[in-house]
Amino acid sequence: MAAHSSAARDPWRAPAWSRIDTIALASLVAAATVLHFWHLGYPPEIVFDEKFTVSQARCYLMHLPYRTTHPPVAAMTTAVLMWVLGDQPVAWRIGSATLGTVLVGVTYLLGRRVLNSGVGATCVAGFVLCDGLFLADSRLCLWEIYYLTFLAVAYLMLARFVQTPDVREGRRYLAIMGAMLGLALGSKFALPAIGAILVTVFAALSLIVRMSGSRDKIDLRRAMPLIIDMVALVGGTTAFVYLGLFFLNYWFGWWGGIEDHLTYVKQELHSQTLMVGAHPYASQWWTWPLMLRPLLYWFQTNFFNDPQMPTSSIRGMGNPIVWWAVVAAMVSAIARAVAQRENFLREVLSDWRWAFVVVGYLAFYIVWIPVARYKFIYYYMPALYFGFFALADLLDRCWNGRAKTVEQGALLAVLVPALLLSFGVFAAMVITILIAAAYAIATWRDARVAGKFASVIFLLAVGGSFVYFLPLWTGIPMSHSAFDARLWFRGPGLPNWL
Amino acid sequence: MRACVHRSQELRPGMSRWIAVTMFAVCAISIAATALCDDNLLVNGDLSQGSKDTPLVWRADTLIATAGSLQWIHPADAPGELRISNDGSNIAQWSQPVDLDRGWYLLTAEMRSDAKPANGVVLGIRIGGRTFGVSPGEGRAWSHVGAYFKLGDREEYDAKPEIVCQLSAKGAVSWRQIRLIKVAQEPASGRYAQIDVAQALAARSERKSIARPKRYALAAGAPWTVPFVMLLFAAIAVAGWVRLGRD
Repeated sequence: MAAHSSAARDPWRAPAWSRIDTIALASLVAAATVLHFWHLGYPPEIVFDEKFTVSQARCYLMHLPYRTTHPPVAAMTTAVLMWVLGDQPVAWRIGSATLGTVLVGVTYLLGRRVLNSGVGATCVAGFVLCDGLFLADSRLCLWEIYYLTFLAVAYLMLARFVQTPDVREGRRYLAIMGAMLGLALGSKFALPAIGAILVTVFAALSLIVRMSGSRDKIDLRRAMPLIIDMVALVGGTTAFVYLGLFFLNYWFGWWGGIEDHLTYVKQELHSQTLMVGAHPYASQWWTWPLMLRPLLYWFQTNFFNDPQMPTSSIRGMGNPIVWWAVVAAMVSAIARAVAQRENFLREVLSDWRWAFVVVGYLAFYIVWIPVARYKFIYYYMPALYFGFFALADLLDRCWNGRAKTVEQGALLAVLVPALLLSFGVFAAMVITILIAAAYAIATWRDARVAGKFASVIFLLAVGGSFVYFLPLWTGIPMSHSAFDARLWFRGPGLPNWL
Repeated sequence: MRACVHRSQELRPGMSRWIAVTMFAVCAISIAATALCDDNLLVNGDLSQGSKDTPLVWRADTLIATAGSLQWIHPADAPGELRISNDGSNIAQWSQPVDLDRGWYLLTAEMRSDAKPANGVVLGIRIGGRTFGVSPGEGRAWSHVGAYFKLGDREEYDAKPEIVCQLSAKGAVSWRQIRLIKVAQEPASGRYAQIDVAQALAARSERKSIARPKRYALAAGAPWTVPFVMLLFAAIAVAGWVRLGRD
């Protein structure tokens, strides 16, 4: 992604694959498999919005209609799994767990191409693996992991297309990309359309670069026919797959023709305008990057009023250190983009990857600002996914001594609030002073060592935070005091952590 | 003198027989009264009866037969106790089936445990495939624990309820003086936790059965439009594919 420092690595060519990549990919997928499938049947009851997906799946099995906002991929997959394995929690969730595991592997492959670095790719896939919201959603029968995984595969296909010199050879990636966009649109209502527009724009950009010959001079006229053909291939495949996913509605006679599909889209768009006012789990868009308002997916029903008893819950909350560092990484990435504003287009044409990450993050985030309906923190996930790439790039540059001191400092600074909230003022001060002193010594000795030091300390903190919050993402029982200690934002005047 | 003393201590003929009969009758009535007045619904709740290593009525179960052990300890000079030790890899329990009607029940026992985590130890009731119960606090001394349970009608449960003393954590735990009594009315909140088993099972049953259909608006579209639009998009995609493949 680092356009300014990796001139030797052509962003329009595929990076070389090594044995270390294979080992890293296999390790990440193995870890994801364990995390996603471990005790998958717990809790043995419907959790949060599983009441929609599981109910819809049951209705499919009984040939009954179930009108709901979201398209049918998650429910149909769940219905097939329930038909094979029976109506049990593992069957409900095995689809999400499988796709969540695939997402980690796909993210590594995408990271390898977008970041052009094994360290960066490992980091970005690791962030997907160690983030609570991605983990919790991979262990529940919800829509998010379905559409995010299909979008991630579409991004990977975009990268493969862009890095394939021959358009004829690359068109198969466009076809797969279209199919994945169709599946993504068939998994969650409307939101994946942003991803579809994003990949189409960047595929068009790559065609412009190919047809212009020189990256300094844009020849849109020569590229336009190819762009139209590309849009036809991607758009046609997307629409074909998306419409085909509703075949059961026609098969069972709930819909007569395309007009009924259009009515459904119209009704659901209208219903979005009615979802205004207060909702106990809602959060404002500006609270998401700082994770001020996670939501509660499930808590153990307290049949006995005994405060000594351990309690369990599952929360839709991320890894706070990763989320806060994503803010720093995105600010850094956007600042670099602004600094290049005079040559912005040339920079984009020179290296599409950093623009893809910045535009992807902003597109999925800014779209929520004007939306009046009540919103939930998991709407931030597709933007956060791009934020992981920005953060991994920052870490990669730190590791290789290419990050500025202020960027390294920002990476370490996000640890301070986490230390304060988890250890208290005195211990946090002591640890902060120790880290700052060690960093200063490292900087004085060698800037590269300082970068490596900042990266290692940050990743250790991410790992510690992962272990610390794991019970809140997976429902591992805890004492009330341990539970209270993890709910960092609670009290008057604060947007409480649910 | 000696004879005199002897004579003065000597009872009239037949009197000793009367005393023996009276004492026997008193004892018999006392035992019967005690038995009739004991409202413990558990058989052998004091764990005094049994043969060899097996307490009367109580059943021992383990998930893995080789790991850990279940013991009935019944010294002559102390109350009997049920004991389970576990290396952490096993789930083991003592259980006794009970016939219970609708209403409130109080289950109590003395427990001591060094098992960690503490919620791996349960004194409770297993019903409808789930175990509801209480765990001991920390400490190895005997402590009194208990809970009120509210049960629904018998026909609401798919199997006979069981009182269970269960260990799924690493360590050892003992139970003694286990009592289950029926409570006439809803208990006031106080010393013991209150567990509404009937409500919990009803809620689970309701959650399991969520599959209420939601109807779409009346189908109004023409069926031919579906294959037409699908073929149209397929044709567009194929056209794009073919044109991109040209030199």
